[in-house]
Amino acid sequence: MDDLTPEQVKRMAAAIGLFIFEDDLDDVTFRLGATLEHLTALDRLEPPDLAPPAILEPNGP
Amino acid sequence: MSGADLALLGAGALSDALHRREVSSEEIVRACLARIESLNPTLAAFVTVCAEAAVRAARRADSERAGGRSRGPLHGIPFAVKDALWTKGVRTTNGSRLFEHFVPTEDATVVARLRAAGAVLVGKLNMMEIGFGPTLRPPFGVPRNPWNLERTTGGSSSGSASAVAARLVPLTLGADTGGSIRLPAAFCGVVGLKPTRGRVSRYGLMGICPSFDSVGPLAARASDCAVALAVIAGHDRKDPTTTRAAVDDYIGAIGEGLAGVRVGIVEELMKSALLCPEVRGLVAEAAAALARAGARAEQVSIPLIDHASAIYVAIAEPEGAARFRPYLLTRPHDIDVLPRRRLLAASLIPASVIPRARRLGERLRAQVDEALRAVDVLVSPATPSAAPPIPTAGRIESKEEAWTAAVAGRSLFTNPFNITGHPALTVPCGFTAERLPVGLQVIGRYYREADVLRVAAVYESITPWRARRPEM
Repeated sequence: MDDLTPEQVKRMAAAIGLFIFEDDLDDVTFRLGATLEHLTALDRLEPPDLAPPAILEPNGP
Repeated sequence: MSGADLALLGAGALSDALHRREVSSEEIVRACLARIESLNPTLAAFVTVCAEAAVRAARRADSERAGGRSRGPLHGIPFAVKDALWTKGVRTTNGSRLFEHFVPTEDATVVARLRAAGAVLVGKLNMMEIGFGPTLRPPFGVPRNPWNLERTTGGSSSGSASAVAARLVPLTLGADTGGSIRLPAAFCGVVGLKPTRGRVSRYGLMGICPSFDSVGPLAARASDCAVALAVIAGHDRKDPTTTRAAVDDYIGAIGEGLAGVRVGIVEELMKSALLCPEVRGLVAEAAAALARAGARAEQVSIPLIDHASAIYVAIAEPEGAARFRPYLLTRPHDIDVLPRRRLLAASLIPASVIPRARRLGERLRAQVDEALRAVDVLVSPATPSAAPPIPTAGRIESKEEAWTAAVAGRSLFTNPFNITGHPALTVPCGFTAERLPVGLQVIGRYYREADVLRVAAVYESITPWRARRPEM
């Protein structure tokens, strides 16, 4: 997974109405990058016996 | 007995002295207030001290006792609570400028129950801001560890642990989302208990993450935690997440031995690369001491526990960010730099990770339940190291540092049991070469707080650690 850039993180925050102070930006970028990296590792642990998401028929059941 | 001597006693010993009419509640409360006045400027354990109200409440307790009415073992005993718990008419800051003028109009249920049991509230305790990780410039003073003033108390229930360690008050309450009772208890060398999810009401707790928040006691001895839990546990109609399961006899369990008790040492936590060898050695020795006392100790494996921090972060961080989003939008300057940065990063975690993390959390709970079918309690280190230095710089230089130091590093041994909801306690199990305390974590089956209290009490009785106090 490519690392997020501070500019990308700033834009992500702006998209949900949050402002990041310049002084906070690098720190927030490192924190978010580290978190997403560890969360990606959870993809490999998905339980194998889960029911797939329901697919709704366009014309109803 | 002098005031100085009184302040050094635990809740149980003070209760016995009150029962024997050797001392009054007012004398005990005044002794605590004197010690707070002397040491709090250094420790910053208390945010608010309710001196006059405490003396009035102590006099009422004395008057009731004199009239032949006893409300139980906490009648006339001083206590203090983390400043995240509502106290009627007493400012409740949540450790933050955001709430510095907030005065609740009612007590949290746990506070109301302690008051109804005759306990005397002496004040509100300092904490990491909004309970969301280290705070660089805490608005109500930098909490300092009584064992070494340059070391952190840990948190977020910082003052709840340091006040007990420095014997400012014999009993406190904290709140624990990922380890916020157990981490400071371990760093400060006291006992701290996170009860089973649903065991203790959270009504009136200014929490972070409703999925994981718990309220629990801290004290110098496991028996004092048992007495407090007996008062605060049980269903609360104001908190629909509390269980109607029967409350055990925690105090009675304290006197039982360890014969036949099976203790499982969590293999993955003991092998963690982040665990300091000195702590690993002390925890291994603690397990051996339990075996010598009659328990059967064995290794157990909980494979998913290695991923617990990621599961925890995926659920707790977005919940915390959502809770404080209005303040992040409107008053970001009023939030300390470290929790603000954590809240900002947490706000950007995609919601799509949460369902997967919840499913994995259920699998982790099933693995812990499975391990607890083979043994009665689990043990592990409470923290990867003894108390580190107080943070003085806010800057993080890499993703690795962000993860280990700021996001999940310190809570990696405690947060698994917030995810699963099992009761977990930390009890002092020795000291490092730098004379800093280390905690042994004891985890029990759902609603079996009696088991973890019993194991901790026996451990205290066969080791010398409970006799040690910081030189203050």
